[in-house]
Amino acid sequence: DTINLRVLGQPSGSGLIAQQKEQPFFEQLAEKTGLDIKVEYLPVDVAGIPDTDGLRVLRSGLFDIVSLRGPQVSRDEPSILGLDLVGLNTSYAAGKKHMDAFSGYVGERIDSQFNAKLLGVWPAGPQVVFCKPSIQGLADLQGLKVRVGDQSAANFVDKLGATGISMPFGEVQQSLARGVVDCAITGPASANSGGWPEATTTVLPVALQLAVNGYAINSNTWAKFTPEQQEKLASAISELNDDIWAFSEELYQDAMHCNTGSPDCKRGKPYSLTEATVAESDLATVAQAVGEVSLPIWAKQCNAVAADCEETWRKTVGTQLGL
Amino acid sequence: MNTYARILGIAFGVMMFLLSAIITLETLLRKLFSFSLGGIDELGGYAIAVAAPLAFTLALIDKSHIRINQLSGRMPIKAQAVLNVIAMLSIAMLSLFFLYFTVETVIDTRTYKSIAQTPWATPLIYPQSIWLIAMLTFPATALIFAVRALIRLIKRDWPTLLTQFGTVSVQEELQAELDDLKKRESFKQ
Amino acid sequence: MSILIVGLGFATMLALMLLSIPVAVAIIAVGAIGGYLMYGMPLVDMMGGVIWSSLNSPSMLAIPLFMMLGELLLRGGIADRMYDAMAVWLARLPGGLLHTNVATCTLFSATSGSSVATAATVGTIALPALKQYNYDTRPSLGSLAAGGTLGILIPPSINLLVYGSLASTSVGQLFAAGVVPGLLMALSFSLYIFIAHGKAGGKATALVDMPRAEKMRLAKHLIPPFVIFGVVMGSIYGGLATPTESAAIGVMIALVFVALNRRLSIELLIECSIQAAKTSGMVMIVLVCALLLNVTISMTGAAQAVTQWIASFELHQLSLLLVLLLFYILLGTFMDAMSMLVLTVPIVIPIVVAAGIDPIWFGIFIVIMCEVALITPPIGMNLFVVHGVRVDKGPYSDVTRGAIPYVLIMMLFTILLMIFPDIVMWLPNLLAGQ
Ligand code: NA
Ligand code: NA
Repeated sequence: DTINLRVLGQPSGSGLIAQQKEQPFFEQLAEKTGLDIKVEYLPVDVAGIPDTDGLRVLRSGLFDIVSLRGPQVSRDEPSILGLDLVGLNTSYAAGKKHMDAFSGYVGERIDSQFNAKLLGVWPAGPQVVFCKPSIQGLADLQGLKVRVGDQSAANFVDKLGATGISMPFGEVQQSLARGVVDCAITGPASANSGGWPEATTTVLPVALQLAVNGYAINSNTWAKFTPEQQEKLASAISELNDDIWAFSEELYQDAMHCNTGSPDCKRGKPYSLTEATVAESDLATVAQAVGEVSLPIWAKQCNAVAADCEETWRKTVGTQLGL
Repeated sequence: MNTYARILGIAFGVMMFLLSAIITLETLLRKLFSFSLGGIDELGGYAIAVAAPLAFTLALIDKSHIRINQLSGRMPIKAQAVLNVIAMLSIAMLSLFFLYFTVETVIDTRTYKSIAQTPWATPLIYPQSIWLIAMLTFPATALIFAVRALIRLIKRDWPTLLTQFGTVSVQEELQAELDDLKKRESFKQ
Repeated sequence: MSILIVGLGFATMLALMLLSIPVAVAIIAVGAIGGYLMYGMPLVDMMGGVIWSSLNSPSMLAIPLFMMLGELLLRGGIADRMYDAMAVWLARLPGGLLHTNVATCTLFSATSGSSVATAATVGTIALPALKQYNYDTRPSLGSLAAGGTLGILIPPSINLLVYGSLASTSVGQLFAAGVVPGLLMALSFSLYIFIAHGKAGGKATALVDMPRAEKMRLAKHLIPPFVIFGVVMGSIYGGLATPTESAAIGVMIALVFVALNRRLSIELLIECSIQAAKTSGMVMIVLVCALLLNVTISMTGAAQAVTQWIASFELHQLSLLLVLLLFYILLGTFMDAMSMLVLTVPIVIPIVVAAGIDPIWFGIFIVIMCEVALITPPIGMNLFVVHGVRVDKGPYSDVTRGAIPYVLIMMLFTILLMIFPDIVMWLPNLLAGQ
């Protein structure tokens, strides 16, 4: 019998990863794997479902596969934040290593809490700092107002002596232009499409986070497949994940080129931001943030729902960092 | 019912006026002193989530929920009265649905100890518990209306069913407006 | 197949509504029961999350805040005095107080989000004056009913807010888009009055001959509405505040004016709160139910099916819009404007976007359709309201006949906007380009 797979995707217009990798992949999944399946792909915003509800929807079985938005769904499962603590993933290589190390535990949590199987995680891209005043490094953020997306970033800029301000993404550009905020953190590609370079002068490409996402499948759906079919499905999605990892890095490089006016710019709108050099001291500051800010706060939240959360993190990721 | 509506209205108003004051303050501070209180948008979101069920209830008490009377208005009196009873029962069903969804959401939030991914990192169980309490007013009121309508139906009290369980007629609404206008005019003198 | 399901669902909903089942119930009955039949409990289970996230949002908050703003201006006695001031300044024009009706409605619209409130307020004040100066009944009633509809086109507008939530479109841009068409429509109403009723009000000499000092004294009553409109819109486009924040600021300024008017009291605040709660409750519950229905519609792929079906006719943009114009005018004869908006937008938006029509432009189009619905018989809220305000108990046909020319003007105006979409898009584009 043909198995129906309903897939809840990234929001429409969220970027090229969803447009050029995710959506085509799921639309061609049946041919690609040769499985007897029929896939219906629906972006989360088109479905009219809040993206924070990704895990709840997955558990209910309304959708069989969900493209989980890490920062949003961590509302219901804090262990996901452990994949991408502020300061943890300063490069794609580091991110890959840390996520590989901890995603096993996150998978167990999603399995036990939401009756679903995690099929891999991927990064939307490094979240870097854009500023209107010219800055040399993180130390210059002291006394500035920085727009942050979530609490861990807020805690981090707080430690730098800056004021964290939250506001919807759509309002950031104008706020930068009018000086409501001095700096803001996001991925270079989003900044490019949001026109941030028009309102800022400098980009400091120190990656605070990689913005983690991932795919998970409802366990009841998973059980409908034979082990060989499961193998096919898992390896196809794992291929997609690898593909996105490489594509994400390519997009990041390209967006940086575009924002700084390099001739190599292919996909975005060209601007002329100054790219501040990331000093060793900045990398050290960011790395330090893990142990001093983001880990302790997160660990408390995560331990509250899973007693072995912090312990597992320290055993897997922590040992790599010497924590 | 009047005192009850007044209390709900006051709760709604207090939230809206306080929020307006805080938002205005936040906007001024942001513009003039480049200073942010932080999290006001989050606070506003919780406030409206709590205020909305109160507004649903008040609209119900005031017979303001939108109903289209074009066809039914031409039916015989008894048919209109029965339709009013059905309308009351259906609103009660709707309110119970809403309550069910609310309870389900709050239980999930409790199970997963969900925390808002905002700078405040609010444990969602706090605002959602207040939301649940506010939501209780809606089915409680709707059930009272439904039961009253049923009793009137059993007693075959058609006039009451027509006047008290229909929609607010334009005449009633205008009368209220005209009375208010008179109050304002007398004050002008 | 999908088309059939959509048609069936829509027909069921209409049938329930015509049986005067509350609109919110009719929507959710089809959305939830239809969804349950097709997807079972999982679909029902996600509804709580949708209710929470749609209520817990800034755009939802804007609705009661703008309602509260309108209530304060009305009950605080600020709106009443606008008419007196407008009357003495506009009485000289050919058509006299009929222009005052339109102008006062326009200005009142700039502070209130609701058309019914606009028609009721201006109507109650205007009709005694119109009677006093022997104006013909039909043109008087018609200009009030039609002028009142401007309340939802000229920002702030509850209908534009609701459209923004349903179509995921920027409310700031929608508000900007409403300004020019709103003013132009008011002008075309005036132009019509000038042509068709230029001789009206010849006996209103008392107003024309009023001493200039007295006129100036009355003009100060125009300050509060201008200040409030200026601050609300200015703070949005000055980058100072979001639309929701601007509503909150508007509420605070309105409180100051009410206090200056020596009308501020606890009793007034309570009265405003209850009224605002009740009108917002009635809008918000329909909106929440429509958002729930949305999920079912998108899950079934119904919107895509209808879009493809419409696309198969290969209509030109203009013909598509003309078809929609007729569809909405028919629907609007008997359906409440807000229900019409929430029911059709989720289905129609993908169609118009696929046809290359800007959703901001379409927001203005659909709000004008709502305006038409308010003054087409048999069911038109503004007709009821203005008829109800009449002191002499004339026939209902007076107001419907008085309003018909304005229906035609609105239709012509809409066709004008189809041919020259820049009338709508100019201001939002200008502001976005800053
Ligand atoms: Na308005
Ligand atoms: Na109508």
